[in-house]
Parts: sequence; C-alpha cells; structure tokens
Amino acid sequence: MERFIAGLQALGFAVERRGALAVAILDVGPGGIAASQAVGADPPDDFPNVAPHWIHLPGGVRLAGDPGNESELGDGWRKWSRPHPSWKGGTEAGRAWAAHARSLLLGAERHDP
Amino acid sequence: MTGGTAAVLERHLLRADRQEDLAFALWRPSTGHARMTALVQEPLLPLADDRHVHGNASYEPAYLLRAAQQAAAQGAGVAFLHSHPGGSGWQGMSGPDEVAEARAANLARELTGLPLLGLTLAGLDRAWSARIWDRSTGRSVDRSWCANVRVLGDGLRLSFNGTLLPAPPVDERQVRTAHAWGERTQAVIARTSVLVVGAGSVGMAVAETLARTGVRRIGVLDFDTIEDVNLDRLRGATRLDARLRRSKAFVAKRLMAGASTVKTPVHEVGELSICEPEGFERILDYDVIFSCVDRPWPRHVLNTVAYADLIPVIDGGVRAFRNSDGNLRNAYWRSTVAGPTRPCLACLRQYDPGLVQVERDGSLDDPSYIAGLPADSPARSRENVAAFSISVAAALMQQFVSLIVQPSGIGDPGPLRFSLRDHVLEHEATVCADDCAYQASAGWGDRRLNPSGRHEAAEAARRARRDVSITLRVGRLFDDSLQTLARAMERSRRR
Repeated sequence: MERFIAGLQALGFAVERRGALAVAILDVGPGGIAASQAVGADPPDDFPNVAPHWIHLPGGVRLAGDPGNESELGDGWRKWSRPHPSWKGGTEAGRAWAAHARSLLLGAERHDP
Repeated sequence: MTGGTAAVLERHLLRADRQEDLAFALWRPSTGHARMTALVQEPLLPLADDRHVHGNASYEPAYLLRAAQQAAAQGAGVAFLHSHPGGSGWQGMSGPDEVAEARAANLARELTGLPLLGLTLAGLDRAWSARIWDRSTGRSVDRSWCANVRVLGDGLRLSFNGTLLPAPPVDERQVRTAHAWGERTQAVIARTSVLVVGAGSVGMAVAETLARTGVRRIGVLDFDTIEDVNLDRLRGATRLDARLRRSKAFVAKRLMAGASTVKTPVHEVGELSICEPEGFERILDYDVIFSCVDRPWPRHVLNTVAYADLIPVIDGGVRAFRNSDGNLRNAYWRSTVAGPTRPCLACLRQYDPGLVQVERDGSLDDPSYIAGLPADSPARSRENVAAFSISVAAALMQQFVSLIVQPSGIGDPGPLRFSLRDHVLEHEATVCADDCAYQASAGWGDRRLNPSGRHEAAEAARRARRDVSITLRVGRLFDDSLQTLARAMERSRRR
C-alpha cells in the first residue's frame, strides 16, 4: 500500500488510504467525463510486482461494458474488474497503473443512480 | 550464491602462486520452515593492506570492521571466505582457521545482529564448504556446519557436507541410471532436495520420475482433491481415490513410495498451497523446485523465490489451440529454468502478472467471472491431455538433468518451446525487461516482497475432505489398511 501511494504521489497525484484500499484523484484530460476523477484501487502487499485488480468509482460514474459490483468503499461506489492487460511491475508501476485507470476513465459514462 | 558472485570470489581466492587467500562478503538470510539459507553476495575484496598472504592468509582488523559496518548498513551479515588451494571436496577446519573465524564472529554479530558465515573454497574441484557461527555463550562462540553449498550459475553446482548428508551407496535398482553419468553425479542427484509444486498430471509424473531416478528427499505440495475428471491423465490415481476423495498429495506419496529406488526415502507431502504462508515457508527448504502449476498466483510465488532466494525453479506448461471445426490446430509445450541470469516467468509470459490479484481475491474460482473472460484467456483453457502432460514432464526432467548433471559442462539450455504440429524444438530468445522487479530482487531473501496470503480455495478443499460422511471415513481406513498390508508384503518379499 505504501509503495502504491508513494508511487502515485511521486507523479503528483493526491492519494489517500481508506482501509485496505487507496483512492487517488486522477486528471482525466480532454474528452473525459471530468477534469479530475476519484478512483479507488486494491494495491496488494507486493505491489509493484503485482497489480491492483479492481477499479472503484464513486456514484454517478460507470465504466462501459458491465454494471460493475458493489464496492467496499460504500456510499454508492461501485467497482469493476479491470486487471491491467500487460503488467510489468518495476520502477514505472505507479505510472502504468495511472495510465491504465485514465484510459478506462476516457470511456466512462455519467450515470444517474 | 549466484555463479557471478562465485566467479568473482574464486578468481580472487584461487591464486596463481597457490597460496591461500581470504575475503569478506555480505550474506542475507532466506528462512524456510525447517532450513535457513545464507545467500552470499557482494564480495568485498581486500585492498592492498587489508590482508597478508604468507602460505596461508591473515586479515587486518580494519578490514573486518569495514565489512561489518557495510553489512550492518545494508541489513546483511558478514561472510568470511578463504581458500584451500590443494583441497578437494567438503573441507574441515584447521586450528588457525577456527581461531581466525572465531575471532571475527563476535564483532560481526555485534555489529550486524547476524552470525558470521564461514566458507572454504577447495582449489582442486572448486567445492565450497560452510559453517555458521550461531552458537554462543557470552563471548564464547561455536559453529554449526551447513548441509550443503549451492552455486547457481550456468547449472547448479552443489557441494555436500558428507557428515550431515553422506553419499548413499548406489542401490542395485539404480545401476543403469548411475551408468549414464557415474556414481559421483548420482550421489549429487541423490542428495539434492527437490520440491514438486502441484501434483496434477505433470507434477505426478515428475514426482514419480524423481523417485525412480534416486532422489532421496522429495517434497510434493498440492491442496487439491482427486476427481473423476482427473483420471484420464493422473498417474497413480484410481477411481477408488476419487470415490474416497483422496488428496492429490496423498496419491503422490503412495506413488513415490512404490517408485523410489533409495533405501531410506524422505517423501514430504503437504495438502497446502504454496500461496499460503505455511506452504510458502516450505518451498524455501528445497534445493530445486519443479513448478507444475498453471495458475498465476503460484507461478508468481515461484518466480519470486527463484530470484529473491536463488532457488532454481523448473517451469513448464502446455497450450493447445483448436480450429473452428473443433479439431486440434497445434499444441505447444514450454520448459525453462527461472533464476538469476535467466529470463523470469513473468517476462516469458508464463503467467499474466495482471491476474495474480484476480486469483487472490477468489475471482478465478468464480464461474461467473470466468465466463466473462475473453475466449482466448489462459484462465479459461480447459485442455489437458495425458500425451501432452507426459511430454511436459519429460521436458522438465530434461531441464533438471541439464541443470544438475551439466552434460559436457553445459547447464540448462534456457527457455525451450516444442511445436507439436511441426515437431520442432525452438530456443526462445526472450530476455527480461531492463527494470524487471524479479531480477532486481536477486538475493534479497527474507527482504523480498511477501507474495503469500490467505488462500480460500485451499482452505475449502481441505475442509471438504475433512467433513466427509462416516461411510467415506470407514472406506479410507479400510483402504489404508489394505495398502499397509500390501507394503508389508512387498518388504517381506524383498527380504
């Protein structure tokens, strides 16, 4: 968890720990649903060798493809199974996860619960 | 130690003038269930005035102090190495050797918190011997001899303490095997401890072959239960085993007992996943590991120890592809040895590191999750054919023979891939990424990132075997009695 948080903070993202999960504020960029977006992750103890599995998003935002599952973050958050497709770990692991999450957010949709 | 570390030390310690020499290095612990391994690394070769060579060799206290301070700064211990240029095989200690090491032992422990490791290099055959100064009363220190020293270079070079691990005589059942590579190599094979992870169709064949080859100490870890669907390829398993819901580990032990060609075999089986903390500890107790698993989490665990703990992992697997008409298009099987200077299992794409956490949270055991995966995902593959499994097992055993026997001085060949359609064996040219985390962790030992955790599927499998009906329990007892009787009759027949 500490390595995940430190890796994202080193890239300039705000990250906070919430129990066994971490929530980062990622900038989505032009064409996305918002300028910045909170995204939750489940970094394992042996990050960066192993990638987080789930992408957690707050109520009102959905990833394309499936309705997702209930999230441990509560309060309308939902989570989607989106394992990184080509995880390599190493020193650039934080950047790789952020790029993966941001690419998913580009295809996300606003959703009124 | 790695072959690279050994080469640096051997170049320094084996002098052209055939005098003894010495050096310090760092070591890190790798702590298993019943064994601690000292991983020797970072040789600190002496500067001009650090030591004196006069037939034998002596060191200046400042050299030891510098080594101990460097070790302490890195959370490592101090290794003290010297040579016996005219020696061969496992070396004892002379009086001056003992005095020199005992003198260093207290300072090394006080500064690093770890006991001094002493090693001797025999010049005639480059055999290493080792002891650890871990027994102390006040300022008085004493050593415990190590059982073996392992150097993982192009192959695995082992030297054994003949007192703790005496070379077993070649049994009459092993004569043809020993004839292939000589009794000396057979004695190395017999004393190499080998763990088979996964007792499926490949692992069961490997375990049986190891037992027949004369490996004395073999471990098998598998948490799974025999089912009818396994019987088309699972060597040693019977319909009765499936009915009695026997564990695969149980069947592996029975199979090895029947196949072993040594007089006093040590077969250690466990109904554990290596992903569980207890299973993980056990894998650190062996010299060589066979990876006969196909899931990402256990492969990640084995990839971790291959580098962090310098235990060579022999891995393989099979993938079959069908045409749209359902017929077989091609099948490939691969084999490799993972460990320093070799490509890791993640970079070889033997598993998908992105799926390790998916398995950990139970998703890969959830049928609805699997159904949602792409059709070509390895997690959805169901093919498993006895004819392919035996080929994978053979490929793994060939890697083992090359690793240990090193025919013509050549160790394991690197990653290999066989194409069934073309009957072509290819050398794969994959190398690890520059920042591969596994390569970077070589020799970390207990400082590795912990890959183990709770494994609910293993817990559920053990629970299901335990909570069976009284009828099944009686059936198991009856079957156990019959097998005990059969073994007693076999022993009697041999006598």
